[in-house]
Amino acid sequence: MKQKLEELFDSELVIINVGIELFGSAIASQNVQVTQVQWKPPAGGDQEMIDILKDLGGI
Amino acid sequence: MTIQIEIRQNSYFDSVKLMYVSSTLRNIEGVKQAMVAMGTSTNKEIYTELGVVDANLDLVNVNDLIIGIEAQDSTTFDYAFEQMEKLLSNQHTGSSKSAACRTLDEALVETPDANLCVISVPGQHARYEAEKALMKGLHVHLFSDNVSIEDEVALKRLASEKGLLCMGPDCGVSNINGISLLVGSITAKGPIGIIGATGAGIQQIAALIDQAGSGVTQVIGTGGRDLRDEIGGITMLAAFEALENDNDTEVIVIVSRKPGDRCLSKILARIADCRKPVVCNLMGCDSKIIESSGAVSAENLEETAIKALGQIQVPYPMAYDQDETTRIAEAACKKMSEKQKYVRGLFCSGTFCDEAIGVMTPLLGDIHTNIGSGKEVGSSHVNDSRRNIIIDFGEEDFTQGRPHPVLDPETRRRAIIGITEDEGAAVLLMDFILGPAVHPDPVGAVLEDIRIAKQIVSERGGHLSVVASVCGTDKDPQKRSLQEKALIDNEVIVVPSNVQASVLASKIISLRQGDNE
Repeated sequence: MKQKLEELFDSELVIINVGIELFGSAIASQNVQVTQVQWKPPAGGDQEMIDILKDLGGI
Repeated sequence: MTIQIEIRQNSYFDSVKLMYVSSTLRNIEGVKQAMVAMGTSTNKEIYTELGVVDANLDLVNVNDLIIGIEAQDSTTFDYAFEQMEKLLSNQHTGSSKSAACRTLDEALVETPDANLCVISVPGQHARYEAEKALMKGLHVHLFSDNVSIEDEVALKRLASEKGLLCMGPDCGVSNINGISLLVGSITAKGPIGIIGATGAGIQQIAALIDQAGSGVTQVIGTGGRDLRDEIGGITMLAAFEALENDNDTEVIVIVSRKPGDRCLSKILARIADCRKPVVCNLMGCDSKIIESSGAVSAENLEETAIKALGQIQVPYPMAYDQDETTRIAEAACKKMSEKQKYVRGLFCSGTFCDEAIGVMTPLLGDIHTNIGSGKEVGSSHVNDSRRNIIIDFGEEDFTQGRPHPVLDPETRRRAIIGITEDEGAAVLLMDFILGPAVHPDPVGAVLEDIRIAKQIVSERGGHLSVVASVCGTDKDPQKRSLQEKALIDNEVIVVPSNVQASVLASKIISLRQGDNE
């Protein structure tokens, strides 16, 4: 635990934002590098299909 | 009247953006109803309840956008529709890498040196996305709520195995390396490290420390359930160890609602082994038990900041002054009419609402509210006469299909003038929360309503005393000092903390009720 958290505390933050764009924008406004993932529910949100695809390693 | 429903297939937008768009459209004069939302089953039910009849509605899925606007005439409708298009196409990017990544893997190709993943997808997808991020070696800040306890335990155990931090689920506030994450404040760097299971709580402590001239190393949110026995404080303990090993952290602060009994024992044992001073605000726990671990116990958020600052010999210049409070309260009471005897608290933050109730109940007796175990006040009871009432506008009743009041002040704004309908209202108590992701001017958004409410009460021979606190710093885009000045210029009594605001409001009410006995 110690090592990776200490690394984080000693590093510049580099963020990947998955979801609400506003959060990515608020972080980027503080001069932080943010990459936005344009996330949307997999398989049209069909839970049964999502489970099948997960089992197949397809998502 | 012009009504139009439009379905756009495979056109996904996040819920905050869509709630903001809908809310903006509803505020256009002449727009009767507006709802722009994804085709979830809940949203489809809402459209049906609104009287929308569209055969295609049954066919849409969660990736399809449903646009519904009802306007008084076609000109208004066209204007609203045009505004909606602009708002939808307005990307909140500002990001240095705005490439259209569709997955975490694609984002990692763009940004191979990423070290933290912020996740705010709907709860049922949160575990999957967070697991992917942890497996890729990223620390996780998980905002999503509605994540099961089982999923939370799995994620936190995985993070622990990987030596990573999983902040959340349901975690809205952190400050890592001086950067405000999600709805937190920007604070100065300094020697105090904060870990907490309550977002507004850790934000208030960090902001008060900043205002006193010191600062924080890290503010680490854990998510509200971390100290429940089922979770066992996995994130709290990981963060605690990191702060103990961090050379820049001299004092560790931990904050949570009441922990589970087993988890409390574990936390206290860990504190007893700590080489650094620890200040604890574990709500609802016996201070003697906390102090038996060697920790300093604090009763409320402001006291936690004061005691943390005390550990590094930094004075707290904004301390509560009983004489000054009495003087202000007496001055406020002089102008009130005989009927004015009750407080109306209109809060954005559940934490501050809860804290206000905790402060006021011993001083005033039962407080009627819409939160907690004793809740019995609904959204329609804000103006109930003959009672002290405190409302949390972040509760579900007020946020169905609307952004949280820290993002969109509209629902709370409307209640301000409403409280004047009851001649018993003597004090309006409010909180304001700042930060890069929240409303750009939360005070400005409600000032006109405060002015009107004061005028209405004044015209019938009374005086509405408005008491407020602003949680944030001068480094936030809104600037705390400017927000406070705007309130003071409009005859609002501004105090440094929510606790002091609650004490002052109680003092005024006690004097009023004493006058009338």
